[in-house]
Amino acid sequence: MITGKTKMADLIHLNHKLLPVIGRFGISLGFGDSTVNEICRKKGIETAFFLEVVNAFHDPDYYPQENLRQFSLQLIVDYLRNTHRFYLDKKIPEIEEMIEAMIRDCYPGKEHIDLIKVFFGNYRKELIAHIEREEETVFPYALMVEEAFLKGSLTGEQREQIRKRSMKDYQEEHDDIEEKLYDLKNIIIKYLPQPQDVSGCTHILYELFYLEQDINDHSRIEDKVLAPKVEQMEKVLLERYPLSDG
Amino acid sequence: MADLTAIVIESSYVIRKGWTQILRSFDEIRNIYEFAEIEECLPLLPKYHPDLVLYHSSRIHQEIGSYLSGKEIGKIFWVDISPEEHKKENVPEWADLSLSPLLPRERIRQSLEQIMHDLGGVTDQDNHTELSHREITVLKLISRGLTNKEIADKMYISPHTVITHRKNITRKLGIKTVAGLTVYAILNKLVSLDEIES
Ligand SMILES: [Fe+2]
Ligand SMILES: [Fe+2]
Repeated sequence: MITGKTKMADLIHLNHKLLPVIGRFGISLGFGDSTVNEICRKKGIETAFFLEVVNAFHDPDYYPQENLRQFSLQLIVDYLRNTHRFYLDKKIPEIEEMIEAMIRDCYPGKEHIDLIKVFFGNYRKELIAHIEREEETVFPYALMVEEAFLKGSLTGEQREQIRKRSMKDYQEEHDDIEEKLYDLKNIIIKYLPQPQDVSGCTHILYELFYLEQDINDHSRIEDKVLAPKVEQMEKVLLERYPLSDG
Repeated sequence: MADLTAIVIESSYVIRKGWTQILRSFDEIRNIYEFAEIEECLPLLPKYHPDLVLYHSSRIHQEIGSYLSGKEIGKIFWVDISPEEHKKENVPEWADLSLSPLLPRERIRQSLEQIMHDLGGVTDQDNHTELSHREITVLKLISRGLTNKEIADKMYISPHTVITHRKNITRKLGIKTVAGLTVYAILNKLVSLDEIES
């Protein structure tokens, strides 16, 4: 497990895929021998939160610690929202452009290759819907639970809300948003006709591998850090306030 | 290639030969043994180690059970071949599947093909990447937007079998979603764009 005393450089040697993750925290290379604790303090990052994120990315079986008070859900939600923006505003348009270029440069005159564009267009819509659902219903719900938990009170209305639709229910609807990227990769690798210009295809493949992995890790934060914390708070709230106040 | 042994138990000579002929057409089957009565066959089961037994008669199925209990004969796939038509929903408890000899031959073949696939699948599954005829049929129907249930009805197979086909298709092609499979089907000219849009 990665701890505050782990050297930042060792963390990258341990798993270089953490590079884009620490990048999103605004940490860049050149750490020298500084530990995670030191760098987080210097950058004003909450260390506990940083550790939850990198551990969840690094170890698929990592389960977050019991200590609920370590950092706020708001912090996680902000991080997840940032990542959503990164996908929608940066990655998706980049890949769309690459697909255009690929069709133009690698497969001129092959009309059915347009399929790939349509396919990715549909994927984009799905991703947007997925993200909207999270930002408009799941995150607000999570923050509501946290607010009640921190305030130490639960209104009748909030109780009803938890009863009617708990984090577990939201989790059940949380679908796999990487699957189509996986498919697209294989379609390009295995099933498109041989391209005229191979490098155009390799570039887009790198991007797809990267995005698939990143979304995968992002979903793990949602499933393994956010959801369990909310569920623990729900449990405490319902035990502590079995009858509604209002 | 699978190396299956099949047994046909049927008192009518003509019907028995009919089943044997169908079974012969499958490469997966190496040995076929014929019996008129189950009594002749039961003592030989441990010796033959059949994978597949075609048999019918409600009269005696308890005896099969009591005979088989405690005997080391491995897993047998029992097919009920009583000659009544609409009994698809009513497979006797000793059988894994019912197939009437009155069904169209093509349908019988399709069902047996599935059984061969399931029985032989364990040994040679992982080396296969090419789609079978049945899988191609399923893939075409998926691309045209049919549900598992609709595909099952169209192909006279169970929804469970459709799911098995889908899993195999996904494993072989490395494509998981309906949209991805559709792109594959179009690129390989298995379906046309008009078929999908309609
Ligand atoms: Fe998300
Ligand atoms: Fe998500």
